[in-house]
Amino acid sequence: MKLEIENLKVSYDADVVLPGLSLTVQEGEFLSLLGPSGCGKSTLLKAIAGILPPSGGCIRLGGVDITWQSVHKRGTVVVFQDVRLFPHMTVLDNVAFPLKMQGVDKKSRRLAAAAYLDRVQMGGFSHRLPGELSGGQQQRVALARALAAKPRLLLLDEPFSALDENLREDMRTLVTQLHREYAMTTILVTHDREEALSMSGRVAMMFGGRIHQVDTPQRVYHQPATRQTADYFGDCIYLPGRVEAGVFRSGSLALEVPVSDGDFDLLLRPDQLEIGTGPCSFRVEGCSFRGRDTLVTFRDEQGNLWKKPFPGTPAWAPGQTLPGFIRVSCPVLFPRLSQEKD
Amino acid sequence: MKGNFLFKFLLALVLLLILVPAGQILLWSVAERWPWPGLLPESYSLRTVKELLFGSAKLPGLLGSSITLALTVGVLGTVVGLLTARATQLYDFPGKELVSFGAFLPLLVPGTVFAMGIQITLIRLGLSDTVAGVVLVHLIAAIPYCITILTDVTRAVGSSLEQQAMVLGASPLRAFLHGSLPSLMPGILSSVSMGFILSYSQYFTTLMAGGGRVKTLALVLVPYIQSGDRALASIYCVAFVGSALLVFFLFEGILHTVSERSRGK
Repeated sequence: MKLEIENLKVSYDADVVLPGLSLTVQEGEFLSLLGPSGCGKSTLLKAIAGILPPSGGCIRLGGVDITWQSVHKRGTVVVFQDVRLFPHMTVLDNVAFPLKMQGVDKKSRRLAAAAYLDRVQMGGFSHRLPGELSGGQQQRVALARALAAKPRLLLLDEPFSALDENLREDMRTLVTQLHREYAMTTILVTHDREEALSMSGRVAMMFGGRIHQVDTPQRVYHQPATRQTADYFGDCIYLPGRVEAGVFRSGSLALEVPVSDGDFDLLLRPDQLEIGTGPCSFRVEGCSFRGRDTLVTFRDEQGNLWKKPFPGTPAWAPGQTLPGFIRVSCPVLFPRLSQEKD
Repeated sequence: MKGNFLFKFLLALVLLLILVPAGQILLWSVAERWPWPGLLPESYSLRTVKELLFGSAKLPGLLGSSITLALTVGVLGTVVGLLTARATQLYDFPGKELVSFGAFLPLLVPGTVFAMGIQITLIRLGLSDTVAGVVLVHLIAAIPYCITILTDVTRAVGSSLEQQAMVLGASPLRAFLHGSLPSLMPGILSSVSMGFILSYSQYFTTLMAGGGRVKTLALVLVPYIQSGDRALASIYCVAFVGSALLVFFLFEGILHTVSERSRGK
């Protein structure tokens, strides 16, 4: 269901976590809240679920104001990072629990629960207790239980971060499949860049209790709205320059840009570096073999470091200087920081 | 290896310290003559057992009232203790520290002093010499212990499972019953037991608040110990300890059955 959040404020005692946040999630959408730990993304999730009372603002779900509705009547189901299966109930009873709360009779809810368990490939574990399952299996059961509740809004609070890398990949695939199948409006809270970019339809970048940008994964990565968003994806290089009459100039580089005159930094990422031919020269600083590729570190004429992976083992030695150029298709400029501070 | 031996030695010592006096009481309760320096009594009789069962004290009635009273105190103390523990552990409110501190105040005042003082209040409330008055006084003695036990358990269990139950559609009460209660159960049982045994063994406060009209096993037991009839005092002790143990076994049995049933087996 469509979720609309307007100017939501949440604070713990004197500590303001969300100073006033607005966000809209369309029906059936998969949106990720991406940001560093402590940015308030889990707080936002808890406020949506009603676990944390807001100190101001409004939350609407399917057009209905739910800001002050009790947790259990909202239909906003959370899957927590720490799984939270009921330890004294069997796997089947855990999944049947939300149906029991809805007043479904014993026979039908057991049948339905078994079907959900089959859907997450846990059909053979119905009569086990949660303590007898591995972490990945527990998270699958938690997912089945959340689906069984038929949520109006599914909230995933870093559900995969306690799992190891291989399992995490499996779980991501499973969640993506389930989302496609049930078309459930879903919000995923994560600090994992890849997770957010690969799973969601849109990504909301969150820093210090504020949302900096909500956009498709491609645009969030290639067209970051703020420096923090750009930096969150790592390895950014800022090329200082100046815009005059709609042209950005820095050294030999000249780009047409639709911004007004002033001092700007051009955002560059290592994947824009092309080695082989070109007007610039790059000195090889080091090569580290990583199995499927080799990460090569270059230093450019201005002293910036560029780290780019190359397939196989390139025959470059540290100290060697190579020609190259930087491919800029749609330039991203940020006003010069130092100027603002001075 | 060495630690293991030390552990076994200490365990044996503790058992000895409990079992030897317990055995002695058992022997004393059926001894007719036990002159010094005999290791065992000279002759045995069932006089005390007859007195216990058919004597003036009317054991069944006495046991019934004592156990009912102590259970009431155990259950009420646990309810108050659980509510207090949850308030201080799971919620934030002004004066929280004061509540936590206030809960332990009864431990600072000696029972006898307290019993004398509260007598006046009970008379004023019209609760003097009544069962309700005795329950109230026992509760004040039991609650600090119940709170201590339940605070630790509540902190350990937290509210995460309740939160999970609520987001899955359970009302706050059902969320507590299905989410937290099963994990709290061992603590609740300890607290009921603590309240039970505290009330069961109260003597002076029962005497003061009940004015002798509310009869408990402990109330009858103490004069026998003081009277010098060791055999009779011993059989009362056996009845006292035995009945308390019996109640504990019943508790354990109930808890076991409940947890098995909730597992759906």
